[in-house]
Amino acid sequence: MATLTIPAADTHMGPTLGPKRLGVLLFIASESVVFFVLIAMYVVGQAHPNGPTPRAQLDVGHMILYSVALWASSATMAMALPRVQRDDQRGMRWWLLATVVLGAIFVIGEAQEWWLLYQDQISAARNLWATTFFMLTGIHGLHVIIGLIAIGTIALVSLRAPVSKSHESGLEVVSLYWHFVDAMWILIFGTIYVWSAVLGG
Amino acid sequence: MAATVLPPGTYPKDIGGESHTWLLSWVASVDHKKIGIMYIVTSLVFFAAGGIESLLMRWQLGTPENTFLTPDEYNQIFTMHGVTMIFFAVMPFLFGLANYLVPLMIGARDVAYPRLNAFSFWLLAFSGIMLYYSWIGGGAPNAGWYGYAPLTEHAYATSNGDSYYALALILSGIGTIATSINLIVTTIYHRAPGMSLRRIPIFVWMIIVTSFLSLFALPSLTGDMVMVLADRLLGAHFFDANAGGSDVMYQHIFWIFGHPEVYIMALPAFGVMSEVIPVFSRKPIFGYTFVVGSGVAIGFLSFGVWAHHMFTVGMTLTQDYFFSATSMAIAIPTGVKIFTWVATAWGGRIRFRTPMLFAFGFIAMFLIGGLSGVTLAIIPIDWQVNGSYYLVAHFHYVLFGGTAFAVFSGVFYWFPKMSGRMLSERLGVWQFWVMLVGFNLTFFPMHLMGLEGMPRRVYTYPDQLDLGGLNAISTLGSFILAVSIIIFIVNLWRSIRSGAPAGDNPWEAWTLEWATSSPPPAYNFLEIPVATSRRPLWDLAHPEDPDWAHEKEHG
Repeated sequence: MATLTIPAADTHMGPTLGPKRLGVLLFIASESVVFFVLIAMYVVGQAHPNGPTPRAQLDVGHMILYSVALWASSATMAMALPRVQRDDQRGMRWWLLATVVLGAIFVIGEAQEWWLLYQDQISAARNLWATTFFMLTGIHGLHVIIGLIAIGTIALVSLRAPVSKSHESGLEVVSLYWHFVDAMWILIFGTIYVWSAVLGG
Repeated sequence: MAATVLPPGTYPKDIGGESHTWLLSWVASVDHKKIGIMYIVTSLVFFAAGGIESLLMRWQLGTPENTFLTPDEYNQIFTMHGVTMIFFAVMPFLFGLANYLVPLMIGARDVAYPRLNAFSFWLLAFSGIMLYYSWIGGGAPNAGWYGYAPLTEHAYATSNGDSYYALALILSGIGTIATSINLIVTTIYHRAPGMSLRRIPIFVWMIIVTSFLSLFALPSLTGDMVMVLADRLLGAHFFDANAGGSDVMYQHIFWIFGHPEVYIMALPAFGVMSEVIPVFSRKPIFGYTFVVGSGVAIGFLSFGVWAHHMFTVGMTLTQDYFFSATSMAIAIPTGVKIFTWVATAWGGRIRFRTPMLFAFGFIAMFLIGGLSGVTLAIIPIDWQVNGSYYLVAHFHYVLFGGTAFAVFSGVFYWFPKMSGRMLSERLGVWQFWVMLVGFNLTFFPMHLMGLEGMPRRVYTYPDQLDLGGLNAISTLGSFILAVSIIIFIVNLWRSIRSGAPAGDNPWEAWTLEWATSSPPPAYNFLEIPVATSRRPLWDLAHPEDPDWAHEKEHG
């Protein structure tokens, strides 16, 4: 093979995104299908109103506060990343703490929502709307909790081993996932709360 | 070009060094080759289980009004046969082969995420075990492999079987998604120098397309199964028509997964064909770009044909027309592939070794399955034969005549690389002919049974029309098929112990997996190879007429 010359372009394999971030982007793409399936089931289920309805049971004004907390946590996450580049692990941890707190506020709000429904004897078995509501918010809430655990772990581990400046660091990967979870909530919040507030149902 | 050199012994990936026991060296391995072989062995075990189930069914159906199996046992057995073969035999085999071959073919030392790879395999293995545990845990699933609601609802399926079914498919699906991400990232980031996307072997291309299909199809199944579980365990109403739930939605969501799934099982087989046929015709593949392009086209189209499984559900005519048209359209890129294989073999110096026999068997049998598939895309015919044995015949020609023949072709082709020993050619030829006869005796009569109106999934039938005779032929065929599998197992057993040594490149093939020893060392390549063209080993053997000199002309 000594006679060969390889064009320079050929030796540079793969885009600059990096294998870890590409992997998590593929994972997110796959995950979004699960959410689309559950959102579709929610929408189709709305065609059969009997028993409790979102208009009667849900208060968009109540949930919007918690939703803003979740969306704000995307902003604090975005603030944490540049801190790593500036060798400010302490600042990064503060922003991660803010992210975890905001995410936890959302989880508490969601739990409160479930508790209020539960007090009205509404569970997944009550009617079709409740079935689709609990599944959609439950699966999303599970994703939020997993994200909180991941972010908290990174913050704790960084006390011993600082987060690397690489764009392939665990924090970069988790932040992509976290933005995805927050963005999904825009779709879900629109489907459940805005729809019921604007159109009834 | 400075090659990346790694002296042996410094490569840390292989946990199972000599200090570990033999068992631990496999169980704890993160080596893509060992994981690939574990996938393949697992798939063979489940293939045997699914095969035994099919023999039980054929024994029951051998004579009219037979009482060998009760209706309930029969329901459980055909469900387990389908689920086992699709999710735990065919898919693990193909993903195992991909795991083994993709890094070798692109000149990499391992996949991008070796530990995730092991995680994927063990998810698959344990979900299969969980599925089979259902026999002990109160009865196997009994609603068919696609588990249509409301048959899986708690009111109709009171045993735990369908919950095991849903859980097993969720778990194995997560494993498949993880391994798909792994394979895509590996191909994008771990190619050897010179191995541009226009040069990677077609098998790798087909695995890329398959992985993207898995990525977007399997979550649909996961969602469906999560909802089935909620209905069964939490009393939810997703598919409960009494409460306004929609069992047609179950079908849509299932087939949005289910039709790409057909191509998840077919595209890697196409990839095997595109490796085997050129090597045994002693010619480069005809129309590389077309073979790849048609594979990608199939990938996209496969997401637009799902409701052709649902013509009898009662959709609108517009929907029927749309899905009929797309289903016929997907036959075009598939036809392109058939023609490129024939054109590759055309005028070649064909070597009729066992892999090539199975490859030709594949082309002939898959063609029959593909053509009967086109008939099923014609709505009035589908209304007539949907849910009959005609359909069973069709998809067995695709999945056994197609994929399984490609699988055996691939096993005979790559076994020497994996084990360092050749499989017996004599037993291989015997296996091929016995299998070809047994396969056609088993499944061809099913076309006729279906046209005469025999529905699938019935545990028995009256002695009318010619059904008794046709079923007897089919049952006879299935036992001949079993003989061919036994020949294969004997061949495997004998060749692993005392097969002729294979050498690095017994078939004089051209892709990079043959550039290293058989079996390859844990680090695959001592020196990362350089891909000089689509056939680097040809270039090495023929420095006077290398492929890269022609690349500009052919593109």
